Amino acid sequence: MRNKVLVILLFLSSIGRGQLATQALKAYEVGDYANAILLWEKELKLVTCNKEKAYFQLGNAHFKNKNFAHAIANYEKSLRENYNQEDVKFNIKVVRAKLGLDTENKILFTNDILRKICFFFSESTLKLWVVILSLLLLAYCIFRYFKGDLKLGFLRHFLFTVSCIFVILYFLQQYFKSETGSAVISIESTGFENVNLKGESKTLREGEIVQILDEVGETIQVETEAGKNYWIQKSNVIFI
Amino acid sequence: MRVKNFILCCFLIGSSILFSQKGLEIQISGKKVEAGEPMMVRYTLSNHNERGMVNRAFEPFIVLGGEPIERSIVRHEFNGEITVSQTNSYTIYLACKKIGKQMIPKQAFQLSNGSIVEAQAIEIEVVKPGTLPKPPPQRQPQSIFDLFSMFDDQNDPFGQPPMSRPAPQQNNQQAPSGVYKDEKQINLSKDIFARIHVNKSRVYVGEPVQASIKIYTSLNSKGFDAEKVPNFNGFWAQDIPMPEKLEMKREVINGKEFVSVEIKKILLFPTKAGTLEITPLKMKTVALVPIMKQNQNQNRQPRDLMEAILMSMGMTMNTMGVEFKEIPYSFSSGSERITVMPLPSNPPASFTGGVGKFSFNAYADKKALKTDEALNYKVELTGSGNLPLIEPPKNIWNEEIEVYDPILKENYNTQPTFSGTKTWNFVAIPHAPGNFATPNLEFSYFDLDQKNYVTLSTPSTSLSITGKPTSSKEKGKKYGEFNYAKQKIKESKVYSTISKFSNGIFYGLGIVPLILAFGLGLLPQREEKVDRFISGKKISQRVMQQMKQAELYLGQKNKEAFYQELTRTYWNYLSHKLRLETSDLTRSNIADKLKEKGVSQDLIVKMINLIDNSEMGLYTNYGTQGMQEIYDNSLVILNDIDRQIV
Repeated sequence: MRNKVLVILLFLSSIGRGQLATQALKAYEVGDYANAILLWEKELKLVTCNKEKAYFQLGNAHFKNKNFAHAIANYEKSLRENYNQEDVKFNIKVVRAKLGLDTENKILFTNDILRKICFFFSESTLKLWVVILSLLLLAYCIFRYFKGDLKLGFLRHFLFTVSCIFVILYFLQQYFKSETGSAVISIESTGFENVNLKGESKTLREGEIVQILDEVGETIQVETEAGKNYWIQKSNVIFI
Repeated sequence: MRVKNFILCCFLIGSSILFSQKGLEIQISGKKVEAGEPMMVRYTLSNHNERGMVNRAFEPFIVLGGEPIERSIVRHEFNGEITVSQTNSYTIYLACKKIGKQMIPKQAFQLSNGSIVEAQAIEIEVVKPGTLPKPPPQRQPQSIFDLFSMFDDQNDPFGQPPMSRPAPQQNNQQAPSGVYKDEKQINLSKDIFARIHVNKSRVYVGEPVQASIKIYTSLNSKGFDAEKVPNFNGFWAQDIPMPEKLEMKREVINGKEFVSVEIKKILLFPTKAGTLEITPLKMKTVALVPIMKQNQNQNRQPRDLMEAILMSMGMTMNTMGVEFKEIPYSFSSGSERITVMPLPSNPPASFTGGVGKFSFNAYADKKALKTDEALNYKVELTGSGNLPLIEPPKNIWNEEIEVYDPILKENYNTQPTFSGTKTWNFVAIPHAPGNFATPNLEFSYFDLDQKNYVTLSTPSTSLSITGKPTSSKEKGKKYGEFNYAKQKIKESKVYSTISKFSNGIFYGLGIVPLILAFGLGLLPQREEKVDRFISGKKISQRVMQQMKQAELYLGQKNKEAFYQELTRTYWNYLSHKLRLETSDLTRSNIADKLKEKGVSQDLIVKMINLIDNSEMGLYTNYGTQGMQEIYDNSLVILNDIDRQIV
């Protein structure tokens, strides 16, 4: 009887957690990439979703389905969740090379030290340590207030500094995660230097990552990797 | 004067810049003219500081008249330096009665330094009267002036014209053409529109198509901005630079006259086969729409004399006037479809995407070199076609020669056809001595005239390399071998959900305690509690110690020390309890403070007595018998005060 309950519990938990992901991985393995894309997109809507991994998998599925621009967009989203993922960076380079884009791009692959440090600890780890350290600190401060100093000023300062650093790292992480305003060119499209079509025009390559600067109607102004600004149609980009 | 200006403007509309050399420009009203009809020729000299025309000989043309010399001086101030540019225009009206090809002779201008600038002769075809198509019906002078004032800012239709240009008044009884009678009638779709023109609609992949975007307008308007830029998806677009001054043309479409401006020219190279669509361009503008001004007060009685005067003035001035109304307007061009045919399906192995007509060459800068010396091997492609899209031909080198990725140099002309040179410079470094050769290169392209693939090749050059063999990092690296594109992507078969650490817990147990701890750390350390219970009596520890000392003296019957200690105990206790400075300790102060602290009057009197007694005992010969009594009293009274004190 007890065994049965256990089995049912395990089964229920497996439905709640990762069932979509398991299906998606299976679909990917058998080569049903379109289905895998759908399943990963569903998975991404769940609260328990491990976004950095799910975006990575979704990017892979898009790559196999030859949607290169979508692959890059999802890899970028994955990197936004956690910058320290060498596999994802490698895959971006592969896709860019396939699209004939530069693989040693300064904008994309600079050693962003701050990001690297920020994402050294995962969000949950940072949260956990902040809770532990600040509770310890609070206990110590309360004790010190009522029972006199234990002559451990060093410990107090250390705890306070470390937990403050963790809090800062956490908020920086949140800031990096919330950063928007970039996009991937989804189809080779012509950009115009000015919104009245005066001046130069240039073909923007598929897969190029651009920063969005302005928006007029269905037209957006983007800054390309080369640092130039062009107006293109909104429907030609995938927002990251 | 006004009429003269008008005539000049009429000429200018049709005029074209015929000839221009450094600082000299000739404009004529048309290359064909009817015999006996006036035509205009205008010489514009800039920055020449000339004295004038040397001899005004125009035979076989007859000079009908001329405009006074138009001088314009423009001052530019840049970084504090003032430069002045001067332009002088000579406008002459001519007519000719002889039919046939006639020449306006050379004209010369003498400069202030004595030298002469010559303007070339112009050929004009004089035709029989009545053979040329009638010029389009002339618009009202007002609207023509307005057309020009539209472009008066550096002739730029897209610059913002002055915001508040006074609308010209017109005292014409009839509504001029193009003027709306009523605001409700306004339909700008026939006044302003855009078109995308393509020069071909059926092309091969890689064959250039020229697309131009034109705006047609019959109204004055304030700048044009795209709301939606056209999409050239499926094409590689190569910009054709436009002149600074956009050219304006007069065109008659369905009997209506428009000013057309070509705002953009683009060369499109289709990159895939199929039917490709250029999506419409959507633009917005603020049009200045002429509307007949209505007198709404016509039937109303004036309220007073002043209004009557104003109304009568308004009736004479405004009733038939034209009002310009600013109306924001969005318009779009139609879409264009281009059928792209695929290239024949059997391309040669050396085909790298070239479509057009090319010539091909490859050469090394040296024939003999030492090991570790760099050799520049240039592959040059010249011709017209889709040059930007062509990949370098594959070249395979000997294993002992290290070849780096090529440096690309491009040089293109967009007019009259897209052509140019594309050069790849490969740097090769030999690492072993011996006799080698540059690769035997082949290059194939699709020839649009022959509708077939053409293969070109260059012979290889022999290289003799001397020196000692050296080691290299990437021996035998062939171009394009190390390539991310050939790598497989990294995949993972593992995925685990993560249990999220809820934000509520994080803020409640992390951030809040941290802030609290920080606050606590800032607070001064709480003073130690000094109160102690000793034999059921709650008196401060120090007081208790002093009392113990006094008790000691009592046992020793040391009267002086006993009273001294006792007095000090009282003062200490009171100054501590009442938070009074020792200098403020007077009997009245003590009484007041104790009263403030809620000690009963009775007890205060007892305390004061106690102080008096002990001082008396200290300074008088009071005797030792009262010592025990004072000691006991002290304990009781201090304890009572301590209990009553708040």
